[in-house]
Amino acid sequence: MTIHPIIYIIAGFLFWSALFLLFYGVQATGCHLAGDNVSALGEHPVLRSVLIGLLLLSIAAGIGPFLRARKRRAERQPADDTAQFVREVGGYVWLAAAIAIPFSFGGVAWLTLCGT
Amino acid sequence: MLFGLGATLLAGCTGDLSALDPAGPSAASIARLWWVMLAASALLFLLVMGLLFVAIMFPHFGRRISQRSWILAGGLALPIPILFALTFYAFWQGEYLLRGGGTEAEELVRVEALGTRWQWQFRYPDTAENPTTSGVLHIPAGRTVEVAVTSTDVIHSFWIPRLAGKIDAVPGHVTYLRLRADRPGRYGGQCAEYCGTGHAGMNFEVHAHAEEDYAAALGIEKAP
Repeated sequence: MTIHPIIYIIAGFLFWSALFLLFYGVQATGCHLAGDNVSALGEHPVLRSVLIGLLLLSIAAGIGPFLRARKRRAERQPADDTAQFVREVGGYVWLAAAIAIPFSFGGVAWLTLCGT
Repeated sequence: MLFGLGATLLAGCTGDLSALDPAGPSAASIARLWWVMLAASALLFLLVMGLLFVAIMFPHFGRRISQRSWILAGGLALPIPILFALTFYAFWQGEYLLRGGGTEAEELVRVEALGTRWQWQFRYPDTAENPTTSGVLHIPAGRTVEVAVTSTDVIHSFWIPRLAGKIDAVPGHVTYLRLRADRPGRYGGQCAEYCGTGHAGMNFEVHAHAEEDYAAALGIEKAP
């Protein structure tokens, strides 16, 4: 199935935004389930493990479309310059999303999760 | 005239509600972050404006460098390390802030703040009598205080600019803020989230007392 290049570009941003909501929701729900004792700034190993697992999956899911786009570009001759350009931009948007994921969400590995 | 204008603008940097005049480690951490961000952005602004000026005055400047190199250097190589450095500095300061200046949890003095349109009430669960005060929060100076903040009606925001950052007061939920006043004194507090027609007047005072005066300020007999 061929994805329209514009959809492909927008999907990179949407993917990152959906992950933002997901991380936010999992962290907030985890802290809520941890109980009222959040003021003690305790450790939450289960929640941290879940978030780190989610982070690794997200990085893999972000890199995949970029690698696929590169492979497709190498295999196929594009119809015209504009289509080639738009596809290239789409690939870089996914690359930016893949880089932004550990940058934005990597803090789940070491920052305080609950306590405010 | 310039002196007058400068003096007027700088007057905003002091006073009872000035975050740039910190009186405790949490607020000092926020002020430090602000100065670091300001310095970094000023340097970047000067660099960009400098390059623009040179490009206008000397049209041949930079032509030996390819367009691609300019884009990679200006769009990636320059901003990404700066962004990384500032973000990780902010993370580090945030962690410090979260602990109210690095204090261990068992050393905390606990108080409760209840926001209600349009006043603040405070309780002191660490004291046997658990007294209530309205509009004035009493804390011991030199100790880290954990304020458990909540609301009875709408979302408010609890803010003592000279002592700490803001924290939302959310109905049905308790949020925590840790702060410390280094010295005894009076500090201004203000609701920082618009909450209705009385929002502007929803302020309070923090009285930081010397350790030996704290119990008396709460009207409590000190244990012998």
